[in-house]
Amino acid sequence: METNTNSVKEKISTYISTQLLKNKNVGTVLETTPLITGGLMDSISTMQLVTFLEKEFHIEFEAHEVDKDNFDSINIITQFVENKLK
Amino acid sequence: MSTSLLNKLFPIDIDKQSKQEPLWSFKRILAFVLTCFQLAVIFFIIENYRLEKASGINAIKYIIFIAFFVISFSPLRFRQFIFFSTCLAVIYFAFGFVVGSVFITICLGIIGCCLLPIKFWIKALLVTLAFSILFVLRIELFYAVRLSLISPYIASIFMFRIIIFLYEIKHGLSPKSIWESLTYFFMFPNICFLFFPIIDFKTYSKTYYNIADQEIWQKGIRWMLRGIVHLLCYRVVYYYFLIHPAQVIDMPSLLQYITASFVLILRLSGLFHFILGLLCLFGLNLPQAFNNYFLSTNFTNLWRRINIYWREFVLKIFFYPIMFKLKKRITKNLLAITMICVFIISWMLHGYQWFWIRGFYTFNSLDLIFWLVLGGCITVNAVIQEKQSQKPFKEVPIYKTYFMNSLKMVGMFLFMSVAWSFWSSSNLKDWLYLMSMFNRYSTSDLVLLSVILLSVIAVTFSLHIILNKPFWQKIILLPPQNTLFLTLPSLVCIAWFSLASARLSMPDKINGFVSTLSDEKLNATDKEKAEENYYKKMLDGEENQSTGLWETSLKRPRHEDEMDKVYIRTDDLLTKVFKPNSKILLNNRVVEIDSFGLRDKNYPLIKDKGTFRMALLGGSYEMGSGVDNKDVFENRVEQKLNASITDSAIHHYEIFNFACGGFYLIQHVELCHTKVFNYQPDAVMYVAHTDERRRIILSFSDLISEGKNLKYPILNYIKKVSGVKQIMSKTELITRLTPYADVLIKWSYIEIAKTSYRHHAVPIWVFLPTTECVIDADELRFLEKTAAEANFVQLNLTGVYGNYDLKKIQISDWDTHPNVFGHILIADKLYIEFEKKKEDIMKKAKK
Repeated sequence: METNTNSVKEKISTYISTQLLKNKNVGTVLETTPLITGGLMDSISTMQLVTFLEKEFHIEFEAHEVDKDNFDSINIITQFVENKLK
Repeated sequence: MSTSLLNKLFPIDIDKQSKQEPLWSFKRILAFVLTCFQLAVIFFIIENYRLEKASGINAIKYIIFIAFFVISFSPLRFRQFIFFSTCLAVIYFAFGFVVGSVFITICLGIIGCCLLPIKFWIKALLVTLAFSILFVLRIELFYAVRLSLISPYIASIFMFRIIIFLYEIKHGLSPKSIWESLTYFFMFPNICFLFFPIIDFKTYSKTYYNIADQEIWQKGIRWMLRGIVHLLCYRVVYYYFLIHPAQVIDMPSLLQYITASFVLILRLSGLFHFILGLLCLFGLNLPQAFNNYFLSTNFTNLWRRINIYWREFVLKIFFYPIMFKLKKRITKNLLAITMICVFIISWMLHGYQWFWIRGFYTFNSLDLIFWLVLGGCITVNAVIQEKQSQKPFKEVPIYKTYFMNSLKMVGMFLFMSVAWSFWSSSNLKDWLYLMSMFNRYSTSDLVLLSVILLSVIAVTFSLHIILNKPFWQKIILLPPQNTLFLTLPSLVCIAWFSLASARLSMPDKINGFVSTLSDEKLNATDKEKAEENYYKKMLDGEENQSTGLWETSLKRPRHEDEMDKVYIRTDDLLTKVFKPNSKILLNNRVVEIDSFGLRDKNYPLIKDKGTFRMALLGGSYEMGSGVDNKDVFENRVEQKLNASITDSAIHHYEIFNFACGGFYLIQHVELCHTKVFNYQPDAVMYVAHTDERRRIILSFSDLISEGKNLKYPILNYIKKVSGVKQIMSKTELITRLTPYADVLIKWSYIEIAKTSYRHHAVPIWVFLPTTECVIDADELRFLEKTAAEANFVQLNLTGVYGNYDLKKIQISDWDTHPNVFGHILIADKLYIEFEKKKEDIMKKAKK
């Protein structure tokens, strides 16, 4: 379970750092760094992340699930994805 | 009450409770006392500067203080209930028991529909039904004064929040308690401010007392202070920088007009900061609604900074759902299509919001174009950024970044100013004419503008450097409870400036400046618009939405078009005349038209021997707009003259009132040529007002817009030499005609005097200041000289309103015409001045 969590978290973290935020000079993105409320991710990058997660983990999201409650940090996203995977 | 019932009714949120300090701890009491002091200073400032006076926020300050105390020292679980009760108290205070009860019942009914344990579609249907009833009330399909009064407030509470609430309920969110649902809607500042941030239910629920309350209080005080600063800055721009479109004559004045128009958004951000700050005092630790929007460096950045709550609402309710729907069907241009849909919806929502607030909707194509262009720019910007993000990150020297950001900020500000001017224009013709002024500049203009532009860039660049220094970053990021050393002196300083006694020690200019800022009023441009609109435009929805004019419109009774019942439209220069023998009741005032088509009592056509008959020429003041027939000053003067007859040759005085709302000099000339002398007057009394030049130009431009036959050679000549055409925008007509104002006035005066003498009547020129009492000394000198040259007998009523507070002599905030008392003052003064010149008048009449 721990390994799974780490693997999900790593994939999400890598995508966010290397794809979504690679051109933004934001320094290190921690697992708890606020992504939406901190202004690092906007609606468009959130949708890009959703598309990535859906493809990567073969899950589907609903429109109302895309908000800062579920997408505001790597930890929160990981938790949310894991709940979907269960 | 059993513990289980108590817990069910007032559930305890252990997580939030754990974040609070003990209620009666010394530290907390100290923080509370300090916050109370700051709040008292804030209300002192609001009162002294008369900030948002019409909102009534100052009137409920004691309720706010009591509620703040009770809520702050009550257990957390009861606070929403007390907050709800506070809102009820404010509703009853504002609307009285009966109307207040109806208000509350309707609101509870709508909330109840959402909470009923029934299927979602039935809930939605019930809410739609309730809104349909509200719609009928709002458009005043049937006239129910009390219900009409509360409908905009109910609409303002529900128009957006009910959509969010239903959306969340649909997706499984259940409110933690009944009080959470009630307080989400019953937020008492909404009773004062119809424009209210679109608060998200989830955010509200999550952030409610989510940190120690002392921290939220200080955040609230900081935001209220920021709101006050924004509102004061708004006033500076509104009073000193905003010019009338007709004053735009070249590139510098155009830049002044468009930038000042955009900066007026400060009022909205000021209000939202104030409202959210106030809510912070009651535990609503909500996020910011505006975030330094003038510092936006691109379109997506602007979209993230300006009216953030609106953006969040649109994203949640429309953007994500549309995108999720579309992404299953299309892959290409998904973002662009979604964005366009979202911005069309934004435009519709904007109209929806205005409908509920004003009670009517007018389709405005400029609105749609504005939203589409803005949406297009944001989409393109987002796509470019998306593509750029795929490229490898390149380190850019920090000073280059600062410099580029400064350039982008200035560029965005100018672009938005142009876009804003487009949005707030009354029509495309007007806007294009204004933009044509970009071509009018001199070399010195260009040099000056370049210097200003470079200075702004240099200042922004320097600020980037300074504010990014660790010291300033530390200050900027300080939590609110640690910024007392900034908020407290700022508040005290603003409060001190508002004291008349403190201002006495200041130089005259500063004293005058602060005094002007201390009053809430329409600026010259909006006063003019309001006056113009009084007769025809207001109900077409052309008012500037950034300024206070829409509020003036909101307060105005919607029955002024009733006046149309006593008018007959004509094709001549008069444009309208009164319908003989008609009578209406307008706002409980009798408007009665006699058999000659004058707002007057019936007189015999043939003058009796020994009767001194006068014809009164004037506009709305003389017609007696807003007062009963019997109260018009002309009637009172007539009575006074008849009561004090001493001259054996004159047995009786009669004053025929030819005045009509919207009549200016050209109409008076036309009256003299066509109507007035059919009644054999011995004198023709023309009443001039402040702002004669502007009025005649406004009137002349209307005649040209309407394509009237100008009849008189001089009018046709001016039309020809000024190059005006019927198709031109109002702004262009006014700009082109303004240089001919003096010629028109002189011609009109001579015509009135000449026709009077030709018919053996004495022309009398009366100068009556408007209740606003702003007399342009230069213009008055010119008018006196012109009247003297035309051989008028002159009666100057300057000082007619004495030292009375102008509000006491005006009909209302939205109608500055003299009320009954104002007419009494005018009648007294006119009588005195007439008596002084009576001998001269009689002498001329005998000739």
